[in-house]
Formats: sequence, structure tokens, C-alpha cells
Amino acid sequence: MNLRKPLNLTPVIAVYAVVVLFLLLGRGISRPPQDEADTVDRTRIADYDIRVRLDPDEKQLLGHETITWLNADGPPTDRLMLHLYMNAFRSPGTRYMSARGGWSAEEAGWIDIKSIKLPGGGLIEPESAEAEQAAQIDEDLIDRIEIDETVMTVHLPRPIETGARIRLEIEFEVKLPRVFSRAGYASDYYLVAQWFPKTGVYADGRWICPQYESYTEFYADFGRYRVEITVPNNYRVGATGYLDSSRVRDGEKTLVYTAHPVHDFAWAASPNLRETKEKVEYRSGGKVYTVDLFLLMQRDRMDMAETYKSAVRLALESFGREYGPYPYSKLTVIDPAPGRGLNSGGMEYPMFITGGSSWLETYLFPGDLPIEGVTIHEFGHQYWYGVVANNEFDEPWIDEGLTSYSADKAVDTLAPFGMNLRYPKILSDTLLGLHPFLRGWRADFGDLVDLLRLGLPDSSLAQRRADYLLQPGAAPITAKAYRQLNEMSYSISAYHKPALVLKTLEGIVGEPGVSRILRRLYERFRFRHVKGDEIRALASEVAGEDLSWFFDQVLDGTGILDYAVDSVETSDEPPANQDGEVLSIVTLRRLGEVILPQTVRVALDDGRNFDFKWDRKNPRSEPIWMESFEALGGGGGSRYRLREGRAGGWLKIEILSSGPVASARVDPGYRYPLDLNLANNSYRTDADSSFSTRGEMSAVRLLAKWLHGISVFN
Amino acid sequence: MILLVTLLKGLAKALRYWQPIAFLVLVQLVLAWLVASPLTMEMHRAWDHSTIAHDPEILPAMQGIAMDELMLAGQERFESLYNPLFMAIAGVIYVLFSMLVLAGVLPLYAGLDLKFNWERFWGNASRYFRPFIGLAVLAALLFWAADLASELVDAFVKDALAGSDDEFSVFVTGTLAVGAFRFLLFSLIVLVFQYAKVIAAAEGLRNIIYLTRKAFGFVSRFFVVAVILFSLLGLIEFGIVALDAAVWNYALPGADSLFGWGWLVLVMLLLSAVKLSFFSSQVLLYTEISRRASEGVRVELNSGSYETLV
Repeated sequence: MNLRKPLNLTPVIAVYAVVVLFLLLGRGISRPPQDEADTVDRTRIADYDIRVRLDPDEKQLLGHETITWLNADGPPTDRLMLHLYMNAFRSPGTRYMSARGGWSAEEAGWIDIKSIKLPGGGLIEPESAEAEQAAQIDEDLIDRIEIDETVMTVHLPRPIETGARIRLEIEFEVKLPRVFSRAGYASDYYLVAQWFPKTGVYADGRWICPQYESYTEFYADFGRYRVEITVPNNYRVGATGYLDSSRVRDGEKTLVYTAHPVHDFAWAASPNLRETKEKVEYRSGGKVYTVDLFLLMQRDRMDMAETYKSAVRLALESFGREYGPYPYSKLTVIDPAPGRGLNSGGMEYPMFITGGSSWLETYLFPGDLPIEGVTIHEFGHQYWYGVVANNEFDEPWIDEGLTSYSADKAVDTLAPFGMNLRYPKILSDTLLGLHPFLRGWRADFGDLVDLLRLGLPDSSLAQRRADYLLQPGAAPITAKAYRQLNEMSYSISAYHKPALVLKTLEGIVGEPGVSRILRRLYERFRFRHVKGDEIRALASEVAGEDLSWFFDQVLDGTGILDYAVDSVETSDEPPANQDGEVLSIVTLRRLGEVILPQTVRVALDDGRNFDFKWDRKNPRSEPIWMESFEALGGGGGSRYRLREGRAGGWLKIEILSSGPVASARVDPGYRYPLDLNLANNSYRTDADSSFSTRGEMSAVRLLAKWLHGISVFN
Repeated sequence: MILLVTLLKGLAKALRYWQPIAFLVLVQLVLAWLVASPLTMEMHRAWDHSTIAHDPEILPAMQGIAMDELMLAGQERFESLYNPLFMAIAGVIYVLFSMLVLAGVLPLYAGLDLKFNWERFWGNASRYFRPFIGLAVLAALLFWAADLASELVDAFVKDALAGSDDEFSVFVTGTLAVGAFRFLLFSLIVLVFQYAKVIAAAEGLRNIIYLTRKAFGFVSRFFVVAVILFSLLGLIEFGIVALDAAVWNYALPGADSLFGWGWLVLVMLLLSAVKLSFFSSQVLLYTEISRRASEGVRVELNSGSYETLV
């Protein structure tokens, strides 16, 4: 319909047209029916149609993209905000580089906007006469953009109404950095990620489009991607999505990929990549599923292909069994170029992951599972990031924490008694022996701890604990990625502590309970974004009990969990009675801020064990205070009395029995790996120094070898 | 062949004088125990009444890492007990003591009398201790200069490789080549000052500059022989360390603590014996080459063994 002929319309239509035109020109793009917002396809918020050509000589990308963006349910907005991630590497003064430090001209990367316009006014729906009229307008927006490092704001000529879509065309040019952080090139290997202008997320009436900073990852809407990639003909390419078509012309080939629903698109290219394909079958919920695995290996590392494949098979089986089927029928795995190229390894993108291990790790320390560990973790992100997405800037613990927990489960099935059991311990301990010999001058307590870690069998859980214990109160889990003190606090609060929290939650709702929660999460938030509060609510719903007391303590605070058996004392003084009973008092203390319900196992010296429940979940409930002794179960005539301090600061278990208490243990099943100090969880009245003696021998041995080392030439 | 004979004779000679070896180990263990004692006392305090180390429920997940885990959990307390000053003092004391023992025993290696005599030992020690300290100071200065030189080479190579993305060129050229350069430089200094002590004891000399020059002349002429002998002894030392690691990991957990302490003493005795064997073998090598030279026999190295040319 052509709005240039309004006089031919009936008066009613003319009035309607005037109103619509008024709305269109005066207020913006027209609003769809109200109920449409509730039936929005959230997998089509941001669609991208991109053509990109790789220029290997200049290490550049020349791109053209058409973004079709839907204002799903937010109020009208007169601007679009887009990420220009590559600008993080433009100069040493960017936020990203300032925090990271170090920069060289070769590592420079940037993205330049060559043109930006609203083709035909940018409006593509709803279809109407007014829309068609607007479609005649072709507006150049190059003077209406503001770029602040990695964020571009496009000031639109008209607001985009709720429910309306807009189409934007952008020509851009990217200079890829020599890869040092996720994306870039290493010789003729390219990992192309965070490379195109990409819309932020418009939610709750505001744009969420933060700067790209050192510890931050990403946040994007789902959409349909169609990407045409042109590279030299001798290059192999792996990419997000499915390969639709390819053509060769003038020494170049163009590959067309489509993907939906995904929220990012990455690709790799190199003449040194070799592709192997495999159909991987796995079971989920009683059904058999098939995934086409496209593995692109460095040509001189083909011997590692089977290691990658076995890791993917295991991951598919484990995640399929625990949480549900992988939603795509294809997965691309890239083995990054060795050396510098490894900086692009260990990353996740939809349907596309990068693995990687250094030459030393791969061939000298295969027992450390360097390839399997990374591949399974990045695959885990297909579930927690790819399908169940989240705002990684604000809540990195969701994707990283859930992935760490669930990937650990898978990895530990590969090496059920700990990752390093296959590790050549003799080699590492030899290094341990040589370490002071070579570097005695740097020996300090930190080194001593590091040395003790070398070569010891090490489950994923133990590794996470060891990292967590380095800074247990560093930052709350819910801290934003860009407000972290340093890399260690980021990794603890995003990876290690959340994984330990979920393991601790197993101690409350059981391992199957946590699996049920994550399975429901995967089902309910499939191709949607989830927030931390929604996970908490869902966990309570699935567990059938309010778990806020737990999450409030362990997610929001920096408090630590540490329960201790303070003492076990036995006395035959009064109130012991004439029947020869003795009074034993077990004193427990809560040394940390976090309160969890505890089980205390008390062993009498006659071999009987009794479990006591210390069910406090918060500091406010009334303290337990038994006035008189009550009979203990199990016969034997023993009696007990419980007395608790204010806010659960301590608990005394008084036991009248014919024999003394031999030992007491809080959390006897080690259900709470968040507990800071496991050594103080128990107390035995008869001291056993064999373990400490081994520690003593370790320390003396290390120091003696150190003395030998520094004096060996004198 | 002659190298092997020298090595075996040197080992035998070092072992024959067991008293200095035992003396070294005794002081070594006492110092180590003293420095470690605040930590070990805390270990006993924190762990002796805990059931964790003996708990079958935790073993599958935590067995190997238990000690690390426990030390990390109590890290603040452990760190507060650790005093680097004690360690530094112990290190200085032991290095000086080691030089004293070496000064006492080296002339015995050079002599023909096989009987150990404490009086002669202390007499030698008082005679050579000061020059050995002087040599150590000179060696330290040269180590510092060598370190500086290799840092410069390292910076130069890194700069030259800055554009390379290839792991192997960076690793092989950058790390290994620079490492090899550093190793060669350090080996040269180590050997020169070891032979300076050997020459002092063998020839009764005490002028450290003269000794250094003479040792440099010897080492530069017989560098390969000296390095091979040194490396053979290094391999023996490495073997002991590896054996210790194996026993430590596989046999000691759960073993009686008497066996543990016994093994520790045995390993330290072996390591100290090998350390003194470095010197006794070098004394034998030096005296053998000097003897042949004094008899008018030209000594050259050919394919790793001696060939006498008249």
C-alpha cells in the first residue's frame, strides 16, 4: 500500500492512516497487538545475516551484516546499543588492556564501522501501508553513532515500538589481533570470535551492553544467524551452525553457515587444520540421539584426535543422561594452533568449542587429562551458556559454576578416583625433589604448599577446594565479573566456589536432587536467559523446600563455613552417678559465619555410635536447651542432653554413659565440601600422630634436600 | 673407560671416608628439623586428634591431597609460624659448614693415606676454609655476571622471536637454546670453582686468583671430560632422587614411621656421598691427568676417552 495516495481511501481508512502516520512519524514505529508480546519467539530477538571475507595478508575481516532486531516487550527505545568487542585491543589505554597490562602493536585489534544505515527506513514489521511508506526512506546513520571503546550507541531517527522489528545494515572492517585473549590469529591460524557488531540486550526498559573488560564474557539475545565466510581456497573452516552451501571462485571459497537458535557465532580457519567427522550416538531419557562431530585438528597433532573424540563422547553421554539431550545435531571442535594459538583455546561458542593443550602437557603429562578436561568443560557450556544462557557480565557464576560442577562430574567418571591417578607421579615427585635444588632461593611457604600439591592424586573436587581455600572470602559468588579484585577472586567466585556450593547442596538435597534441579533448569530455560534469583526459586520448587536460607548465605556473602569439634572431655566427677556412669561433654563450635544443619557422630569407647542432629539453618531460631537428660537409643542405658549457644555459635552434647566418648565428628559423611577446615571436624581422645609424622617427615625432607641443593657445589 | 674407572674410584674413596658424610647429614637434618619444628608442632597440634587422615570415607576423594588440603585450610596459622629468616640463617650456616667439611676432606682425597684422621681433617679445614670462602665469593660474583649475560641473551632472543607464533621455535630456540647457553655458562663456572678447590687441595695452593686461573686452564682444556664426569655423577644423584620419590609415594604411606625416618636418613646419606664423590672423582681425574703430564705424556681427549700420544 502506497501512502502517497491517501485521498483515494475511504474517510475511515484515511483517519486511521493519519493516526498511524502520526504514530509512525511522531512517536515511532507502530505497536503490535498487546497479546503479541506474550507470544514472542524469544529465539528470534536478534537475527544476523553476515558476509565476511578474510584477508590473511592484512589479518583483516571485511564484513557486511544485516541485523534484524526485535523490541520484544520493552518500552519504545530510540537507540540501539551494540558491542564492538574488538576495540578492546585497539590501544594500551582501553579498559580491557589497562586491567590486563602489556600491549604490543602486533596485538592491536579493532573494528571500524564503515557505514551504517536503516535500509528502507529499517522497519520490517508490522506490515502496513505506513510501514511501506517508511520503507521508501533509506537513512544513513553514520553521523548518529557514538562509539565508546567497545560499545556503540546508534541514535535512531525514530523510536522502535514494543513488538516492532528494525533492520540495520552495517559495513565493518576488523583488524584481528595476534591472539592473546580468545580471538585473533597465530601465523595462519585464525580464531574469529567477538568479531561483528552485535546488539546488546534490551531488558526491563534498559540496554545491557557493558564494556568488554578483562574478566568479563558476554550476554546476547538468541537469533538466527546466516553467515557467508570467504577464505583462501586452501583454508579449512569450522564454524558455529550448519554448512548450507559452498562455492569456489578465483582462488577463494565461500561457505554459508546457518544456525538457529544461537546467541553468538564464531569460526576458525587455517590451511593447517584437518577435519575428521564422526557420528556420535548417546542416550538421553531412554532415547538414542546422534550428533555429527566435526573435529578440526592441527595437521601435526592428528594423533590426539581420538582423545578429543572420546572426551566429546563422554560429555554427550554424561550431560545427556543428567540433564537432557544436546539440542543440535552438530558440534564443531577446534584444536588450536600450538604456541600462541593456545590463547584461543578453552572457549565456548554455540555449537562450537575450542580445546587445546600445550606440547608439554599433551605429550609429557597426558595423565593430567589436559585435552579431556578442557573439552568436557567447554562442551558443558553448550548446556550452561549455549542453551540456558545468562548475563555473563553480571552473573558469571551461572554459566561457569554450573559448567564446572557438571563437567567435573563427567571428568571424574573418566578417572573415578581422581584426575591425576594416571599422572606419572614419579616424574612429578622427581621434579618436587629437584625444585629446591634448582630454585632454593625462592623456597618459601607458598612454594612448600605448591610442592606438596605436585604429583598427588587429585579429584576435581579436591582441586576446586584447594583453589577455593587460597582465598575463601575473596568475593561473593554473585559479584559481577567486572568488579572482581583480581583473576583469582574471579575464578574462585565464578568457578570453584559455585561448584563447591552445588556439591554442598548435594549434602542437603542429595545428588539426585541437584541433578533434578539442573534438569528442570535445562528444560525450563531452554533457549532463554536465566537469572540467579530464578535458579534459587527453581531449586526450592524442585526440592520441595525453601532453600533461600542456604543460597542467601553461600551465594551472596563472603562468609565461610567452618564447624569444629572443639573438645571431648570426660569426667567421673558429679553429675556422674553412683552406677559408675561418666559424663562426657562434646563441644562443637561454629567458627565461620555460614550456618548449615549438621550431623554429629559420637563414638563411645565401647564401639557404639550415635548421630545427633544439629538442625539450625539460621541464627534467629531459639537455641536448643534441654533441661534434663534423655535416653539415647540403641540400648545400653546411656543418656544425653543438648545445649546450644546463641545463634548456633556452639553446641554441647553431654552424654552420661558407662564409658567415655572416644571420638566425635561433625559432618561425618563429608557432605559439605565448602567446610573450610576438615581437620577440625573431628576429635579423637587418643591422639594418633602417624599422619602428622608423615607431614613432619615431608617438611624435614624438603628442607634437608633444599640444604643439600644450595650447597651441592660447595 | 678411564672416566668410568675414575668415577668408581671416586665413589669408593668418598664412601671410604664415611665420617664427613655422616657429619654433613647430621648437621643437615638437625638444621632442617629446627627450621621445620614450628610447622611440625602445628601439624601435630592440628591433626593428631583429628580422624580425617584415617577416615575411609574421605580417602577416595581426598587421600592424596589431604596434607595440602589441611595446610591450606590452616594456612594463616602455618604462614604465621613460618619464618623465612630462620630458613636463610639455616641455609647460610649449612653452606659454610659444607665448605668447612670440604676443606677438611679434599686433601684427604688427594693423599695416598687411606686412614681417616679427625686431627688431619680439622687441620686441613683450618688451612683451606678461608680460600674456599674466597673462591665462593668470586664464584658468586661470576654467577651474577653470567646470570646478567644470559638475561641479556634471553631478552635478545625473545625480541628476535617476538613475531613467531610457532610453539616449537619459541620453545626450542627461546627456552631451550637460552637455557642451554645459561647451563653452559653456569656449568663452566661450577666446574672452574670445583677444580679450583681440587687444585688447592692437590697442590697445597691457597691463592684464589691463581687457583681460578689454573682451574680455568684445566677445565677449558678438558671441558668435555670434566662435563661428562660431572654429568655421570649428576645422573647418579638424579637416580637417587627418583628412587626416593618412588619409595616416598608408594612405600612410605602407611609404613612405620621408623622406616620413614630411616629411609630419609639413608637418602640424605646417599645424596651427601654423591656430593663428595663429585670432588673425590675430580681429584682423581686431576691428579691422573697431572701425573701423565708430568711424565711427558700429552693427554688429549678423543671420542670421550683418553688417548696418550707420545
